[in-house]
Amino acid sequence: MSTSTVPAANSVRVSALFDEKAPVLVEVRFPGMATSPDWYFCREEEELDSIRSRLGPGAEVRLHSVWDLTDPTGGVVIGK
Amino acid sequence: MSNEPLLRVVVSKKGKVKPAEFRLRPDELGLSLFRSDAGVNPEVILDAVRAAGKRGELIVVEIPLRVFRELGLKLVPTPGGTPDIEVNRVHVEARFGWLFRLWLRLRHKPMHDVFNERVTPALAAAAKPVTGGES
Repeated sequence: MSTSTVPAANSVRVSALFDEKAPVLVEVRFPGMATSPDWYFCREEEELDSIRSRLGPGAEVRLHSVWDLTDPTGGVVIGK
Repeated sequence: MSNEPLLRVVVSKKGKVKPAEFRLRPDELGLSLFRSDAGVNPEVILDAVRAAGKRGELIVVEIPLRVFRELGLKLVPTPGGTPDIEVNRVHVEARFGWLFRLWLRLRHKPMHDVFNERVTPALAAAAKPVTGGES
Protein backbone atom coordinates (compact mmCIF):
# COMPACT_ATOMS: atom_id res chain seq x y z
CA MET A 1 0.00 0.00 0.00
CA SER A 2 1.43 3.36 -0.96
CA THR A 3 1.26 5.29 2.30
CA SER A 4 1.65 8.63 0.52
CA THR A 5 -1.98 8.57 -0.61
CA VAL A 6 -3.65 6.89 2.37
CA PRO A 7 -3.75 8.53 5.80
CA ALA A 8 -1.37 6.71 8.17
CA ALA A 9 -4.11 5.41 10.46
CA ASN A 10 -6.03 3.95 7.53
CA SER A 11 -2.86 2.51 6.02
CA VAL A 12 -2.25 0.55 9.21
CA ARG A 13 -5.86 -0.67 9.21
CA VAL A 14 -5.61 -1.72 5.56
CA SER A 15 -2.39 -3.64 6.18
CA ALA A 16 -3.88 -5.29 9.25
CA LEU A 17 -6.96 -6.29 7.30
CA PHE A 18 -4.87 -8.05 4.65
CA ASP A 19 -2.46 -9.57 7.21
CA GLU A 20 -5.10 -10.88 9.57
CA LYS A 21 -8.33 -11.31 7.63
CA ALA A 22 -7.55 -11.80 3.92
CA PRO A 23 -9.07 -12.27 1.42
CA VAL A 24 -10.66 -8.87 1.17
CA LEU A 25 -13.71 -7.76 -0.79
CA VAL A 26 -13.06 -4.35 -2.33
CA GLU A 27 -15.97 -2.09 -3.23
CA VAL A 28 -15.17 0.92 -5.39
CA ARG A 29 -17.96 3.47 -5.18
CA PHE A 30 -18.47 6.37 -7.56
CA PRO A 31 -20.54 8.87 -5.56
CA GLY A 32 -22.51 11.37 -7.62
CA MET A 33 -21.58 9.62 -10.87
CA ALA A 34 -24.87 7.85 -11.61
CA THR A 35 -23.34 4.41 -11.70
CA SER A 36 -23.10 1.29 -9.55
CA PRO A 37 -19.95 0.26 -7.63
CA ASP A 38 -17.24 -2.03 -8.97
CA TRP A 39 -16.27 -5.10 -6.92
CA TYR A 40 -12.93 -6.87 -6.60
CA PHE A 41 -11.68 -9.84 -4.63
CA CYS A 42 -8.11 -9.35 -3.36
CA ARG A 43 -5.82 -11.80 -1.61
CA GLU A 44 -2.79 -9.49 -1.40
CA GLU A 45 -2.46 -5.80 -0.56
CA GLU A 46 -0.56 -5.22 -3.81
CA GLU A 47 -3.71 -6.05 -5.76
CA LEU A 48 -5.45 -3.16 -4.01
CA ASP A 49 -2.62 -0.81 -5.02
CA SER A 50 -3.18 -1.78 -8.65
CA ILE A 51 -6.92 -1.03 -8.39
CA ARG A 52 -6.38 2.31 -6.68
CA SER A 53 -3.73 3.45 -9.15
CA ARG A 54 -6.26 3.69 -11.97
CA LEU A 55 -9.03 5.43 -10.06
CA GLY A 56 -9.79 9.08 -10.68
CA PRO A 57 -10.64 11.68 -8.06
CA GLY A 58 -14.00 11.15 -6.38
CA ALA A 59 -13.90 7.36 -6.29
CA GLU A 60 -14.23 5.84 -2.84
CA VAL A 61 -12.78 2.49 -1.81
CA ARG A 62 -14.33 0.31 0.90
CA LEU A 63 -12.70 -2.85 2.17
CA HIS A 64 -14.35 -5.76 3.93
CA SER A 65 -12.82 -9.01 5.07
CA VAL A 66 -14.73 -11.91 3.57
CA TRP A 67 -14.74 -13.33 7.11
CA ASP A 68 -16.68 -10.34 8.40
CA LEU A 69 -19.01 -9.11 5.68
CA THR A 70 -21.62 -7.88 8.15
CA ASP A 71 -19.26 -5.39 9.82
CA PRO A 72 -21.66 -2.65 11.00
CA THR A 73 -18.95 0.01 10.75
CA GLY A 74 -18.86 -0.39 6.97
CA GLY A 75 -15.30 -1.74 6.93
CA VAL A 76 -12.23 0.33 6.10
CA VAL A 77 -12.95 3.37 3.93
CA ILE A 78 -10.14 5.06 2.01
CA GLY A 79 -9.96 7.58 -0.84
CA LYS A 80 -9.08 6.66 -4.38
CA MET B 1 -37.53 20.33 -15.36
CA SER B 2 -38.63 19.29 -18.87
CA ASN B 3 -40.07 15.93 -19.86
CA GLU B 4 -36.71 14.70 -21.07
CA PRO B 5 -35.55 11.29 -19.73
CA LEU B 6 -32.94 10.77 -17.02
CA LEU B 7 -29.62 9.03 -17.67
CA ARG B 8 -27.57 6.46 -15.76
CA VAL B 9 -24.30 4.70 -16.63
CA VAL B 10 -24.61 0.93 -16.37
CA VAL B 11 -22.66 -2.22 -17.13
CA SER B 12 -24.31 -4.07 -19.97
CA LYS B 13 -23.52 -7.56 -21.15
CA LYS B 14 -25.01 -8.47 -24.53
CA GLY B 15 -27.38 -5.53 -24.28
CA LYS B 16 -28.86 -6.71 -20.98
CA VAL B 17 -29.12 -4.36 -18.01
CA LYS B 18 -29.47 -5.89 -14.55
CA PRO B 19 -31.66 -4.45 -11.79
CA ALA B 20 -28.55 -4.40 -9.57
CA GLU B 21 -27.49 -1.29 -11.52
CA PHE B 22 -30.35 0.67 -9.94
CA ARG B 23 -30.07 -0.31 -6.28
CA LEU B 24 -29.88 2.16 -3.42
CA ARG B 25 -27.39 1.64 -0.59
CA PRO B 26 -28.35 2.02 3.08
CA ASP B 27 -26.44 5.31 3.39
CA GLU B 28 -27.91 6.92 0.26
CA LEU B 29 -30.89 9.26 0.14
CA GLY B 30 -31.57 8.93 -3.59
CA LEU B 31 -30.46 7.27 -6.81
CA SER B 32 -27.77 9.17 -8.70
CA LEU B 33 -28.74 10.23 -12.26
CA PHE B 34 -27.95 12.81 -14.93
CA ARG B 35 -30.45 15.06 -16.71
CA SER B 36 -30.60 14.69 -20.47
CA ASP B 37 -32.12 18.11 -21.18
CA ALA B 38 -29.10 20.29 -20.44
CA GLY B 39 -27.09 19.78 -23.62
CA VAL B 40 -24.52 17.35 -22.24
CA ASN B 41 -23.85 14.53 -24.71
CA PRO B 42 -24.30 11.03 -23.21
CA GLU B 43 -20.89 10.07 -24.62
CA VAL B 44 -19.34 12.87 -22.54
CA ILE B 45 -21.06 11.48 -19.45
CA LEU B 46 -19.73 8.04 -20.28
CA ASP B 47 -16.19 9.39 -20.67
CA ALA B 48 -16.43 11.25 -17.34
CA VAL B 49 -17.47 8.11 -15.48
CA ARG B 50 -14.74 6.06 -17.18
CA ALA B 51 -12.21 8.74 -16.21
CA ALA B 52 -13.18 8.17 -12.57
CA GLY B 53 -12.09 4.55 -12.97
CA LYS B 54 -15.38 2.73 -13.54
CA ARG B 55 -14.70 -0.52 -15.40
CA GLY B 56 -16.71 -2.86 -17.62
CA GLU B 57 -18.80 -2.67 -20.78
CA LEU B 58 -20.43 0.63 -19.99
CA ILE B 59 -23.43 2.16 -21.71
CA VAL B 60 -25.71 5.07 -20.91
CA VAL B 61 -29.37 4.20 -20.49
CA GLU B 62 -32.32 6.57 -20.39
CA ILE B 63 -35.41 6.28 -18.24
CA PRO B 64 -38.51 8.34 -19.05
CA LEU B 65 -39.34 11.07 -16.54
CA ARG B 66 -42.91 9.76 -16.21
CA VAL B 67 -41.55 6.52 -14.66
CA PHE B 68 -40.07 8.50 -11.77
CA ARG B 69 -43.32 10.42 -11.35
CA GLU B 70 -45.37 7.21 -11.33
CA LEU B 71 -43.09 5.78 -8.64
CA GLY B 72 -43.54 8.86 -6.47
CA LEU B 73 -39.93 10.01 -6.80
CA LYS B 74 -38.74 13.61 -6.73
CA LEU B 75 -35.69 14.75 -8.70
CA VAL B 76 -33.37 16.83 -6.56
CA PRO B 77 -30.39 18.64 -8.13
CA THR B 78 -27.19 17.73 -6.22
CA PRO B 79 -23.50 18.16 -7.11
CA GLY B 80 -22.07 15.40 -9.30
CA GLY B 81 -18.80 13.68 -8.47
CA THR B 82 -17.17 13.07 -11.86
CA PRO B 83 -13.95 14.77 -12.99
CA ASP B 84 -16.03 16.80 -15.53
CA ILE B 85 -17.58 20.05 -14.24
CA GLU B 86 -20.18 20.25 -17.04
CA VAL B 87 -21.36 16.71 -16.33
CA ASN B 88 -21.53 17.40 -12.61
CA ARG B 89 -23.79 20.39 -13.33
CA VAL B 90 -26.59 18.11 -14.61
CA HIS B 91 -26.54 15.63 -11.72
CA VAL B 92 -29.73 14.87 -9.82
CA GLU B 93 -30.93 12.35 -7.26
CA ALA B 94 -34.26 10.51 -7.47
CA ARG B 95 -35.66 10.50 -3.93
CA PHE B 96 -38.88 9.59 -2.19
CA GLY B 97 -40.84 12.64 -1.04
CA TRP B 98 -40.28 13.78 2.56
CA LEU B 99 -43.77 12.70 3.65
CA PHE B 100 -43.23 9.15 2.42
CA ARG B 101 -39.77 9.08 4.03
CA LEU B 102 -41.34 10.17 7.31
CA TRP B 103 -44.02 7.46 6.95
CA LEU B 104 -41.32 4.83 6.39
CA ARG B 105 -39.35 6.07 9.38
CA LEU B 106 -42.36 5.91 11.68
CA ARG B 107 -42.90 2.31 10.59
CA HIS B 108 -39.20 1.42 10.99
CA LYS B 109 -38.96 0.42 7.34
CA PRO B 110 -35.48 0.99 5.88
CA MET B 111 -35.86 3.36 2.93
CA HIS B 112 -33.27 1.56 0.78
CA ASP B 113 -35.15 -1.74 1.21
CA VAL B 114 -38.39 -0.20 0.03
CA PHE B 115 -36.61 1.53 -2.86
CA ASN B 116 -34.88 -1.68 -3.94
CA GLU B 117 -38.08 -3.71 -3.73
CA ARG B 118 -40.43 -1.26 -5.45
CA VAL B 119 -38.38 1.10 -7.55
CA THR B 120 -35.32 -0.83 -8.72
CA PRO B 121 -37.17 -3.42 -10.86
CA ALA B 122 -39.31 -0.73 -12.50
CA LEU B 123 -36.29 1.40 -13.41
CA ALA B 124 -34.43 -1.59 -14.84
CA ALA B 125 -37.46 -2.54 -16.93
CA ALA B 126 -37.86 1.00 -18.28
CA ALA B 127 -34.16 1.61 -19.07
CA LYS B 128 -33.27 1.93 -22.77
CA PRO B 129 -29.70 2.18 -24.11
CA VAL B 130 -28.68 5.49 -25.69
CA THR B 131 -24.98 4.76 -26.29
CA GLY B 132 -22.95 1.82 -27.60
CA GLY B 133 -21.24 -0.76 -25.43
CA GLU B 134 -17.49 -0.23 -25.85
CA SER B 135 -15.46 -0.59 -22.67
